[in-house]
Amino acid sequence: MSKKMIVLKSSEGVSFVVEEAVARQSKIISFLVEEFPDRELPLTNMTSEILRKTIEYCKKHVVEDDGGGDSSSSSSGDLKEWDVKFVAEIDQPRLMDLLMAANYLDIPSLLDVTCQKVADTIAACNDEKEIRATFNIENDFTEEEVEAIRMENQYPI
Amino acid sequence: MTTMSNLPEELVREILSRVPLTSLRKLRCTCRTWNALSKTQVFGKEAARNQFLGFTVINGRVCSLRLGFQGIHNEGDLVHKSTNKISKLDHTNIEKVFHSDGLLLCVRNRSNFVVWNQYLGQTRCIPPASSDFRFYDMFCFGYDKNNRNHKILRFCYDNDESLFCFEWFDFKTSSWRVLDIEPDVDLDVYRSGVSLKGNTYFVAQSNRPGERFWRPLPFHYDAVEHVVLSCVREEKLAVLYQIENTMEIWITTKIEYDDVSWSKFLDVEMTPLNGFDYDFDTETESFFIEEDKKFAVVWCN
Repeated sequence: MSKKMIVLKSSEGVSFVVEEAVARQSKIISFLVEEFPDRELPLTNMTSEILRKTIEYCKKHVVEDDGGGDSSSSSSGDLKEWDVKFVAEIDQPRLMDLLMAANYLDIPSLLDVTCQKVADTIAACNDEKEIRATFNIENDFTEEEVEAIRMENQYPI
Repeated sequence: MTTMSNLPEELVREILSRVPLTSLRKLRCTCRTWNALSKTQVFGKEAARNQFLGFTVINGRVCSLRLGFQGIHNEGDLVHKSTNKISKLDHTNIEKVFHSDGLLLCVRNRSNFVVWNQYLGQTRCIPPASSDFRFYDMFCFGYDKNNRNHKILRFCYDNDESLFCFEWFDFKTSSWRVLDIEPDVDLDVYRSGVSLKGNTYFVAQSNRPGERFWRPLPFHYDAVEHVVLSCVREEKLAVLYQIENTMEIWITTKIEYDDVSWSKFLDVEMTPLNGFDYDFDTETESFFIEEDKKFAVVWCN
């Protein structure tokens, strides 16, 4: 039996043909597929690059129902390892785009790994200056205010 | 291109909730938005979707209390209570704990005190005070405004001598000092105080109001056991007054050294909730407010 395919279109107008089961990991796409069957789905706020990455993630995470109950295409340990590698290979700006894509398409597991990667990156920074530089955040504090916060967060042990 | 600055607030919250507590200081120093968010947010991965309520002692071990409010949007229980043993605090025979502002004082074996820094996970042993711990002793944390030198205030009542005694521990010098002050004779302190911005507040009753450290509450009360204090986001003080089937909660609109003003947050008529034909005879032990969402969780014993 051939698998049902759907077409997703990026903001640049590039079409991606994807197995329905893969795309349905997005709750939004799942909904759209039911509402508008056999139609191309335009994702106007996603670039081809990010859409390709998202599909790559979904392909890896698809749960195939082969009649013998749910069986993931990979074991959960392998999958975790794959996730770590997957987000590690993405640079900072693209990671943020991917995080937004996961949020927009409503893919909870992808949102989870991207948020965690950003949090780990914050934690790995040595100080607030490094955090600002890494995430391109403007310093809207005065020197005195930073000093006051440092003082506020000083503990005896 | 998406940057941290144009990410929706809910996503920034989600990310920050996963940053470990040990990164709190640099996180707060990063920008105004993060500093503000970090005050309404509970940190640490496992706490991501829960609100932190406090600490308690179960079978001699320290446990943290967390309440999740997911139920508000789903059917089922409104509040999910969970208690977790704190593995980092691997002390047994804890008698009592006092918590404020990220620091937890554990009392064990009468004269043995340990302070745990909730944010950094470090512990420090505190030498014995001038007399052994008594069950009704109360401890509060505070610090000097200018250099943030932390102190512990101990408030105890000596039954044999019918005397109140105050003493404080200075973290810098690592020593206890008895405070030579004469409290009001009718001073009646019932519950632990709460600490806010370095000051400690507790509810007391006296025949001589108008004292130097005395700040009036926004209502009249007969007995201190009906009044409980709490903190709102390290910024405000909240007070709950419960008698029979009525409860009211007030929060401060201003709290400075010589000026305190209050506004009413909630009025609760509990008769319909009760469903039985008798008064609520439970006593509020502690409470927690979610100011924006306009609700309160009350812990009774």
